Amino acid sequence: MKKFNMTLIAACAALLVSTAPLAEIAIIANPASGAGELDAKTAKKLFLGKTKSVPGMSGVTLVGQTDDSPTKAEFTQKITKKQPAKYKAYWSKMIFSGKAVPPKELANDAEVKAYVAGHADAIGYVDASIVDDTVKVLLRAP
Amino acid sequence: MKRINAPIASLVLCSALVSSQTLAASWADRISLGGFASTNYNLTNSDTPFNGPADIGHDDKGSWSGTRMGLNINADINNRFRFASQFFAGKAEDFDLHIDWAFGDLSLTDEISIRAGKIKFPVGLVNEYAQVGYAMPWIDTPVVIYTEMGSPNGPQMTRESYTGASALGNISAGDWTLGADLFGGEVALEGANVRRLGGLNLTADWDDSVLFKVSAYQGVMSVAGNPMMDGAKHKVLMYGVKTDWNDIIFYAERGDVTMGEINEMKATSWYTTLGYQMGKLLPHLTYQSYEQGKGSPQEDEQNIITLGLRWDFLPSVALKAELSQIKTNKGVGLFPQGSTPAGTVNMVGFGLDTVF
Repeated sequence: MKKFNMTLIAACAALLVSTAPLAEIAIIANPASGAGELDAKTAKKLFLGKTKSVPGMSGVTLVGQTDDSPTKAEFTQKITKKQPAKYKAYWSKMIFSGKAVPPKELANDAEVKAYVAGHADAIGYVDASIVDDTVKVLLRAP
Repeated sequence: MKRINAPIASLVLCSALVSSQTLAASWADRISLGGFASTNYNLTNSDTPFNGPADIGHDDKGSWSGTRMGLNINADINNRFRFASQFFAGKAEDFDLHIDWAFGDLSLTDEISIRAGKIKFPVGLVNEYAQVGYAMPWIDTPVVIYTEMGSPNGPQMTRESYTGASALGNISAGDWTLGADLFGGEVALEGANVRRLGGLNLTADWDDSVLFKVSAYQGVMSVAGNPMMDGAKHKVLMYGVKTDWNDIIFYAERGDVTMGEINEMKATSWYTTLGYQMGKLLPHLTYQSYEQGKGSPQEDEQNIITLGLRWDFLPSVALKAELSQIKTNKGVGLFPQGSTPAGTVNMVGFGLDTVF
């Protein structure tokens, strides 16, 4: 019985780990950009290259992360509603048909935050836990 | 000779270095590079080459002719104007490196832009990225519509690119994005030209899950030494739907083409694909139908069934395998004119695709 209980506890722990909340994603801009809040649909269209307009901004440089970044995997599923491979295939269609230019890719959250903090026209995504007052949050996706 | 004032020279030199570094950094932000590559192998159980002449068609000796690569360079000159280009080389053209497309794109508003230059031919659901294996489920685009090869006739529905200009517009309405592309110019082919080309694409995209597209264009053939073709009006109408919804992948597309009054070149092609995404695996089934010259002495009727599997086994890399059965009911279809292919030919294919 004791053995059974231990097994049950271990199983529950494993379940808790596997269903633990994943990182919250924040879409960020430069505080001086004048950008207003984004809704989820606009954020999706923006990062799929279907719109270039953000309320309060005249031009936008999108900043993403490289494929090995765990934040990118979270972002593609929460914001663009695509698995990472499908997000990649989607942008392949857009790039190689000449329809749109993909987001500039940086290595990790810290690089994206630093880039956005230094460029008034930049919009990027990071793990919400690293956000500070050098950037402005336009949207949070839990 | 006057001596140069050292502090001023240092200042000028430093300014030049700083400004050139700033300029370089600025341009590094504005220029983006990307590329794609595919390696394909196809083998049939027939010595008659399929979908191309003996040196590039698929036969029982095996063919790597689908192997190809491209390099894309985009320069954002400013927020409203960009210059985009793509270089391409493939085994079917002896890896002759050429400009696939290169054009300037001016955004007049967020919704309207104009382009001029050598532009990817925009008709059909997948023609604009037909060479990018990674962007599609199949090893190659459905041949009954997206090939310029095959028999001397072939479906003749799509082209690689055109030289000219286009006006593009799109508007959003709720979850829908509606688009239009009005284009005109000319197409240079091997030994022929399509002049006075004009066409229109209309698209309706629902939340990036369902895409409807209708394309129509016409042009005038200019073929020296071929009085039957020279001056013929080439008209094409294509329409299709593509979905990627709840892991269900679906394509259905049809094209109709006429070449003046030449009945032998009047063709109708269609295909449909159904697949289901299971994690990194995408099994799919495709049926293609090709009819040309109905009622003429050179009538062709062919259909192809393909069972395929795509496996995204690494980020940005996909491996594909396909089994096809090509059934020729009348004429030669996409086998060479004058050949006598067996009623049914089987083909196996493998592909490795990447983007970078």
